[in-house]
Amino acid sequence: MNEQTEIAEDNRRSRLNRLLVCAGHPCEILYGFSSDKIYGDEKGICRITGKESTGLKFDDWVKDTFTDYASLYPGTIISNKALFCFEEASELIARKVNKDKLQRFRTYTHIVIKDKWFVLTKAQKKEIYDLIINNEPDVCVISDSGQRHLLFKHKIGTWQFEDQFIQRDKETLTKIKLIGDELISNNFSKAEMLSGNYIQHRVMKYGIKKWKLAEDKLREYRGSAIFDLSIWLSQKEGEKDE
Amino acid sequence: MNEKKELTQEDIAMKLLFPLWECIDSSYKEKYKTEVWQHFENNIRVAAYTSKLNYFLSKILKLMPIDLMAKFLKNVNEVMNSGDDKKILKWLRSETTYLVLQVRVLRQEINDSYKLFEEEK
Repeated sequence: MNEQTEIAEDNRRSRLNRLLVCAGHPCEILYGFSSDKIYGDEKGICRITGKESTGLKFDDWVKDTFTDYASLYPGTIISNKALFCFEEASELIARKVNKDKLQRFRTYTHIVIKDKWFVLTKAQKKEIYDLIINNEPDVCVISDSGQRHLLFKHKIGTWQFEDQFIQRDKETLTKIKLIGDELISNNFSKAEMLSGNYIQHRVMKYGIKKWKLAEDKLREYRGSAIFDLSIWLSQKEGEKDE
Repeated sequence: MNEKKELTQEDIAMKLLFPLWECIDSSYKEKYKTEVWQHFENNIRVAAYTSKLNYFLSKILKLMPIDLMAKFLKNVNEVMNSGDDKKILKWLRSETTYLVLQVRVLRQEINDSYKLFEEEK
């Protein structure tokens, strides 16, 4: 690394650290990783971050398909910081995930730990689990469907799984995931675990007593958001991320 | 002193569900050979969404072609008159797979011992 790039990198890191310390909104944290892209210079209050900023007129930008008005602040614009997190053709994301085509922001899981931004697919479950269990992420937005914009409504300090905000509880997550891993390795499906309705022959093959023990533990948490996330993260023994 | 014994999940499987299973019309079992156990489980769960055990019984008799045989009545009545309707109905709704599998295992054991008996003859 030459001196100039080193200085630029240092500047970026210190700017990012400042943002992480004082930023209240995930879009601001993520924007810290960009090259300060400017989408517009309209002044006003951002409907996404709730802060005074510059960007595009919100009404000009918003599409008819947007329905999440309950998550917005009163205001007139969408700031450059927020626009960055709504990008539908991001070169930066494409580079991060090694794709040739420009990528959508919403397709991916976004995890920020200190000054590192991880962009992951839903196939990288093991990596997602390791990151959230071994760290205290500043931003943790886990996307399953990849269809909805999630980042803009993230609540810092929680694990967000699709639309659900989960109180961080590593012990419970691990406890449920281990049972999920065991059952999934024995050919049970995630749908069975989520619903509690199992295919009988699978239970008989696995052993009724053993299954009953596992199911009784799962039942305690069924219906909670942390249960949904833990089962989603469950993988067959030895199964590797793509 | 005549102390009333509390019924366990295994008792419910053996004394209530096993008789119900045994009394399902054999042509129905034949017709739905591959999925009859799943039918039985689903119908038990559906019928258990009620407040009294006798409502459950009449519901399951309507849902499936079951003709209760006299030899099972003593056991079935023991469950019906236990007074634990709420607890038993909750088990029938939330522990359905486990209860039905107990019946399935018992049926399998009977089949196996019958086969062994036939072979030894």
